[in-house]
Amino acid sequence: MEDEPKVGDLDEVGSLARYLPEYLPKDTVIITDYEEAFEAVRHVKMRVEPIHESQVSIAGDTLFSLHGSDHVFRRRIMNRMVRPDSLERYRNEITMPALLRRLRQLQDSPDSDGIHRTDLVKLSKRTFVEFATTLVGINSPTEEEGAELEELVNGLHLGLHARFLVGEPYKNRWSHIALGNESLGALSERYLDPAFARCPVNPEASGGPNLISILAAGEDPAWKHREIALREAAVFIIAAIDSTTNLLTYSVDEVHRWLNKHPEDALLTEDREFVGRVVQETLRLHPATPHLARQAAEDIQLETTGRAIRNGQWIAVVMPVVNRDRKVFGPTAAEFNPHREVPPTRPRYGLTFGAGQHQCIGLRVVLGNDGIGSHAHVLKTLLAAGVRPDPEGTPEMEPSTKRSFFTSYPVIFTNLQAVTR
Amino acid sequence: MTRHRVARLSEIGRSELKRVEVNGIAICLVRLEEGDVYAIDDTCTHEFFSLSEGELYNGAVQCPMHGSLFDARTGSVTGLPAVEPVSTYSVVVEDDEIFVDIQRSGVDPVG
Repeated sequence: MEDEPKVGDLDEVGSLARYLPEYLPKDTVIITDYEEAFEAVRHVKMRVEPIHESQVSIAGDTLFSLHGSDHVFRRRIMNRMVRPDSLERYRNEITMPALLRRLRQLQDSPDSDGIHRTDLVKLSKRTFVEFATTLVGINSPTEEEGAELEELVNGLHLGLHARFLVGEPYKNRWSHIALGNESLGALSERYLDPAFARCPVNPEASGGPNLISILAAGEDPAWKHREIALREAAVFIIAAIDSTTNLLTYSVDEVHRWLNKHPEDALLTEDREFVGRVVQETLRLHPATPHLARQAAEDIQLETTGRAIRNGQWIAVVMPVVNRDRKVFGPTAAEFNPHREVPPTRPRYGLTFGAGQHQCIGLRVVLGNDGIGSHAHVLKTLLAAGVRPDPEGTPEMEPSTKRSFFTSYPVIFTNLQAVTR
Repeated sequence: MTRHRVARLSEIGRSELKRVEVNGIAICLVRLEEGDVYAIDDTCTHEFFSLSEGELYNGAVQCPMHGSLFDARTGSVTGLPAVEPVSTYSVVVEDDEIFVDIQRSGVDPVG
């Protein structure tokens, strides 16, 4: 991949339109300063982004869209899924074995020139499908079911993120939303409803809590409405497959370029702390969402800048810009550097997981207990297997959306035997 | 010595948390599965939510909001996203009464 344009401040961005969706009201307050964004997003009088028309049928009434005490109540219950023993189980019993199984298959099927090639996007999605199904509580999928799930998640993804479409695709967003709804229906019928039907009464049964057993227990009365419980599960599946795949692909892309410039760091790829920093630096530079939107619930004046925000007014935090704020991340903030020093009170991953009440529940999956979570383990294994961009391949990105993600990333492996022995 | 009676032991079951206040300090009383009682600051160092609204897991208090984990005995962080520990307070249980010493931090449970 060519280096992306440097985005450190407005001079370098050129146009914020690249990151801001078309549906934002014209008087939206655009925030590009990290500290101001941090205060605004955490402000108790800032409500989470009002749900967009494209999201209602997939994310309505889920953790994603709740406010205040309803949100706290539900989050407390759902946090059981990201406790240390659950994270360890997902990683050691599901994700890593799934990855190693696929790498062994790849080792057994080199191309005619003897090179082991695959598409990292596909490899990652197939691996994390198994993680997602365990997290949610669907039976471990067969190869065919895994492919079907991946297809359904692609449809859900298009529907949920239709608000990020640009130009003509945005005008035609309803076709994406319809596909998302169809995908949700099929996912429910084929996988979620059967999982609800067989889930144990005790959410702690079957080796640890999964989402469907928690939903079925109905500790939050809203989950007794099956359509809400189904949407809750669908949103988790999307995040567990798509966000993780994009993070992993960008991590490989960034660390490869870093190692080309810094060959002296090659041995550090065996160091879990270094790999953990690669993941966090990648998170900072490539947030899953281009902006965070909030709406003021009353007149607010921000302390960091003195900026006044009217009751009902929206703010949009431009994620790629605030995460490259030189005042926080230093003069080279726009560049990838896993050795970067950051202020001790500011996370290496910037605002990528958000902040305040709605900070992403996936944070603990990605970062684990100590900053080195499942993604770092997967990345470390890929690096040990000699993953690198295929010199004969061309990565592809989705052009029709303001979200930045790879649809294809061809790679080769030069040392598979190191991890498949 | 600034020992304060904060609750009855019978008011807090095993594996339960209870919020109490001493001189304006919000404290989370933790009664472990084994019965020992500990006291830590009730405010999560990450985003300032009330830890006593969370849940106890393997001797750690899990914040209800973002899932940070704090060792009930030492206050140390055992799970992100919090990175700073919470303060701990000495606890004495006499008969059915729980006393917390807000001047003394440390591990001194009686159950």
